[in-house]
Amino acid sequence: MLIALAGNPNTGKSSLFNAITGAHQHIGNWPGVTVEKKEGFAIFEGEKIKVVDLPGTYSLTAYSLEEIIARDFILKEEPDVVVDVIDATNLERNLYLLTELMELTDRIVVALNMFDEAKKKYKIDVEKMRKLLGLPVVPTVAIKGVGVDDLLREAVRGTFHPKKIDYPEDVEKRIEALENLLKNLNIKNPRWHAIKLIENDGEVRRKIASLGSKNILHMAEHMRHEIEDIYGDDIETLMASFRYSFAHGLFHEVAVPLNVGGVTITDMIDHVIAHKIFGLPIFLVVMYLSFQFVFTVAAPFQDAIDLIFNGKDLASGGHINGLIDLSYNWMASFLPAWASSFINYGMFRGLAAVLTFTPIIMLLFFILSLLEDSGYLARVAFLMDRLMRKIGMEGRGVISLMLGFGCNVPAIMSTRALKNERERKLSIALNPIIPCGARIQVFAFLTSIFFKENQALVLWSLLLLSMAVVAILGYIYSKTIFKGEGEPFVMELPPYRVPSLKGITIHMWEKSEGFLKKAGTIIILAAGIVWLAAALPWGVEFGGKESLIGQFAKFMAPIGAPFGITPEAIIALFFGFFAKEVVIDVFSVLYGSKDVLLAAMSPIQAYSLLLFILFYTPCVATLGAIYEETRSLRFVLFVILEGFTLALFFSFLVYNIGSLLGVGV
Amino acid sequence: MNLKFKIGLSVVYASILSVIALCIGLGEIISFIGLPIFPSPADMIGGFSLIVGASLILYGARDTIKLLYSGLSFYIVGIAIMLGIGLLHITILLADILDYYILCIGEVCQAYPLQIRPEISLFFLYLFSIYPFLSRFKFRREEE
Repeated sequence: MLIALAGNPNTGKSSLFNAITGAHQHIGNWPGVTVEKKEGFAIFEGEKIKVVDLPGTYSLTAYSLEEIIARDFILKEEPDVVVDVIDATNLERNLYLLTELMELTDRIVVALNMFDEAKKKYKIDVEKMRKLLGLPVVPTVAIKGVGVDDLLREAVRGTFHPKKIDYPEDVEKRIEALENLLKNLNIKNPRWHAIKLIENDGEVRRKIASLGSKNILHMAEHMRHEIEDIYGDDIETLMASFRYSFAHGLFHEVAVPLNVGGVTITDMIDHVIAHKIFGLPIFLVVMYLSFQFVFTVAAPFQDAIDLIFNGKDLASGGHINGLIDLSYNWMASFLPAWASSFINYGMFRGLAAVLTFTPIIMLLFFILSLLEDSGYLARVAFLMDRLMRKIGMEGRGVISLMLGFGCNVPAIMSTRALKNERERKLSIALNPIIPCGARIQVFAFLTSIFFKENQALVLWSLLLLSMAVVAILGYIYSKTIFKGEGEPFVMELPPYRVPSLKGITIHMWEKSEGFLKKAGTIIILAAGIVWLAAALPWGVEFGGKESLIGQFAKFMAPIGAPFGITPEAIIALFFGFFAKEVVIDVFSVLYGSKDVLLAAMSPIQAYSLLLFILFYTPCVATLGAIYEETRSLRFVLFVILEGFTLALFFSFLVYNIGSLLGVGV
Repeated sequence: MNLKFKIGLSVVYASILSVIALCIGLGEIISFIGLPIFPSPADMIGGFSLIVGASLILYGARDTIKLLYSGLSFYIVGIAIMLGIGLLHITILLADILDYYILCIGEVCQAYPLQIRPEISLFFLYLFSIYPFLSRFKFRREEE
């Protein structure tokens, strides 16, 4: 059996080597260089073990001779086990090399050396570290021989299920693309080679070039530039910071410093933001500030867009024509009036209603990208992880829920990464309760009309309610239908940094693009259908009782009455099943102007409607994703039932209690 | 003036501001509920934000005076929140002015009725209390 000892310089590697091999040592040089090579032998429980002491390194880049020797040995000699000797008194710094080793080999035993000294500095949860890494972790005091037998036992008999070091999605998808190409070259450990190619590692580039795969090199170079553009930094700094995020997150999960405080700004901020008492209030303040920023900055742009499209009635009695009126008049000169009305007051107005919300959408994604790129969102996930653990969900499940704030479809698809089936189903069942970007747009639309003065507060209350419901339902589910333990996971904590404007803009555009495409396709089509339903049969009053939509509304009216939901709102909710944004269109086509809509509902009815939209059935794309992930129609039905139950419960409660107390009536 | 004195002075100054901010925050919440004790904007979450920021500063004040990182951490996050709130209200004011004049297009409008929120005044006053953050490298990890 061959064991390699790796680790940072001065971690007690030589002491461990001596403790294992005793007098059975041979000291020479590594081939062709003057770096000292130490080999030794030991027999443990009948197993003959050859031990090689690798040069001490801080990382495994190809910059120093020691680093090249260490990684080449692991790659070419393929030792049965690599022991990473960690100076436990400097745990966080030493974990960086471990992240690199984990990319290089699966069979690693972690020796937490100088553990006696480390205990004076931190309380280290070894068992948790073992679970999070999926690797054996053994506390040692090599200089006294403490823990050496346990270490060898783990090396000989240990089980190794190492966790993958994840990079941000933008980087991960590029690594996977390269990895797939490298697999065709029959290279061992294609993932490590892909990562190194993206990092522009000279040694690996030469190796791939020697195999005649220049297109892979070109592709890696292109990907490298893309990543540098997105994150606004050079690739080496970026990749190192991603690994440090893992090391920092792992450290925060397993070690509690006995002396609080730190030296870096990141440590100081984390000390407060992850605080048991202050963490959650700070998160609520940040969310409030973000929403307030989005709504107030968007307002003048929204009003400008509204003026351009819809014009305005002046206080003096005059009227400024908007583009829609101008276009209607122009088309009416060569088209029948109904056709011009259909195109302009049906489709064009529907499109304009959605476009009015483009500033909100772009600013919302701008602020979310800012929070993400600055490193704050990772802390939120860390904070939520602690709360969610109480409901039996942790780690990746929490990340999936957080993704739901963007769109529930990718959030549900991301649950594939969860190996624990119970946690996966729990995450899928709770995900539709998280308001997606589309639902937030509808909230923005309705709050801007009914709660102009308290827009951020109303949105904040909806967000808070959805999180409370996720926590309560999660707790109930984890005690009943989804019983069991969560899968341990290292929550990565990147250091705080000032995000690049370019990176934020790219992220903002990537997220907003989908919304704009939808506005130009599904939403414009839906607006046309709603207009037709309001205009047919020909000759009736537009949207009146005799129209198709009027008859449908009449039929639905008794259903919505106990919840304060108007028949027109029921129609909007019905169309919202296809895409939530369509709700805005339906209101725009049916009511024509904000003033008419404002007169149609009281604030308590509007709030009841907001609650209904928050919880009722997810859109058809989300249900499709749920079916894809679970392959169970029963599960899809369960999610629909869950949504309607919550929606009916909260709407009924709020509308009736509010009406009883005379609030917002 | 030595370092400890200067830091002490900054912290005492920030603490006085924070007590004022706490009162304003409470006033905003009380006004929101509909019981205006003294004239302040009716803004529940705005008031809550002020209370959180001010509490962090007051919570970390004692240890910051002792030049301990444990206190400075709370102090700088608290100051950052107060400055963030102030910046937000400056942005709101600018956006409101722009919106006011957009809605005035075609109308005869008077000049924008300028009202400065207390958070904006606090923003400028808190700028004078960032000295401990600038001297962070002189702080210690623990009490000796």
